[in-house]
Amino acid sequence: MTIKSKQAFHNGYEIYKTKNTKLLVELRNDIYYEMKKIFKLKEKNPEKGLNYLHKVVGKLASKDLNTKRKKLINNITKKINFGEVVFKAFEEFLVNNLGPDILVQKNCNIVIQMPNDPNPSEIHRDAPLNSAYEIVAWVPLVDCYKSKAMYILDYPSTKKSLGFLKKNTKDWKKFENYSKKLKSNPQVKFGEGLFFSSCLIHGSDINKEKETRISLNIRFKSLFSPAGKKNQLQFFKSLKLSNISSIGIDFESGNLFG
Amino acid sequence: MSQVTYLVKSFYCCIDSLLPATQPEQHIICENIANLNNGKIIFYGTEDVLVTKHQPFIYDKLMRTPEIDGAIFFTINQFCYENTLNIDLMNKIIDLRISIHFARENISYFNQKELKKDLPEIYSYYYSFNRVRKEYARNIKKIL
Repeated sequence: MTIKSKQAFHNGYEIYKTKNTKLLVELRNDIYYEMKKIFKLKEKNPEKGLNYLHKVVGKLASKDLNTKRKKLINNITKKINFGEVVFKAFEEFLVNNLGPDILVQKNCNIVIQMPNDPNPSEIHRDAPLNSAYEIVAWVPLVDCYKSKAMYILDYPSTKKSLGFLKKNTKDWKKFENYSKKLKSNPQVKFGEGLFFSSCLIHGSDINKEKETRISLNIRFKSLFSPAGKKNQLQFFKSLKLSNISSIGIDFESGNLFG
Repeated sequence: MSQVTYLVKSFYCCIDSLLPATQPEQHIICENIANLNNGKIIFYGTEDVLVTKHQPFIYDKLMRTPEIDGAIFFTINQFCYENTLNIDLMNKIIDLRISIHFARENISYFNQKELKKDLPEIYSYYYSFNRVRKEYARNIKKIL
């Protein structure tokens, strides 16, 4: 590991507070407006409505919930430019870490984790299937803490965990139990984002708190960094092009001096 | 008027993390198999690249995911990366009453009887898949 990668995001991840809370409040309002229609919610306060979503839709089977979640993603992806909003909310952090030429994932994922839902996100890492040059932005729409938050293993813990997996390639449960001893569940409040390297092991536990977690996750990468196995043209779109890259493109295409 | 029965099955999709084919390409072909079997893919997953030989993830995941009717793998090659065919995993999945599908090969097994029937062909494929072709040819040449 290089000295720089050791320093980046405090061992692979960092919680960063937005400098533009209004953007995230509007984003949450827009998402809640759509959720109210799809899930037939009556609560007017978005924070309360999201935290206690399980009280209204808790009886849905997991596959029905997933179908409605997909419908929600489809509807709001057409109306909201997630990449743009999340980027603007955390622009300083993202530009500092990725540089000024940035791609963003076309579709934003929305995760709904109700209390005691037996199907949390499995322990995994995004890279090497995703590019190791991606930053994952995990943006909760409600305050997240303890098992309501996702868990993550920092660089040293991911290294230990993968070392264990290399020696125990047959028993996934053993690997999961070992890794979970090394994890932390960072507390991330609404208005903050958890940013982490795609190389880190992460996942979520069964939510044992009394509130539902609703969170977004979306990936950013430098335009010029190597692609992963996800088709970059299909998965990402251009978000920001630096002045010098524009000049370079103009020069190489013959538009600058002819 | 004829009565129409709509069966919508739920599938777990497990793509091949070793293939150079991009994930979306694999997903499209797996989705087709789900549609052909009156269903749709509800969840996606894949083995970590460190453990593709033994595939330890998928069985645990299927056991704890409720209401899954079938598991769609992108290719049967995913069961051929170890020095023996991972037939145990195929059996264990079918024993969970979960059908098993290989999208690229367009093969589906819904019970042990169907799987057993095809075993000679599957093993033959496994040995062909793992044969070091140049070494095989060199050995033949030595004799001939």
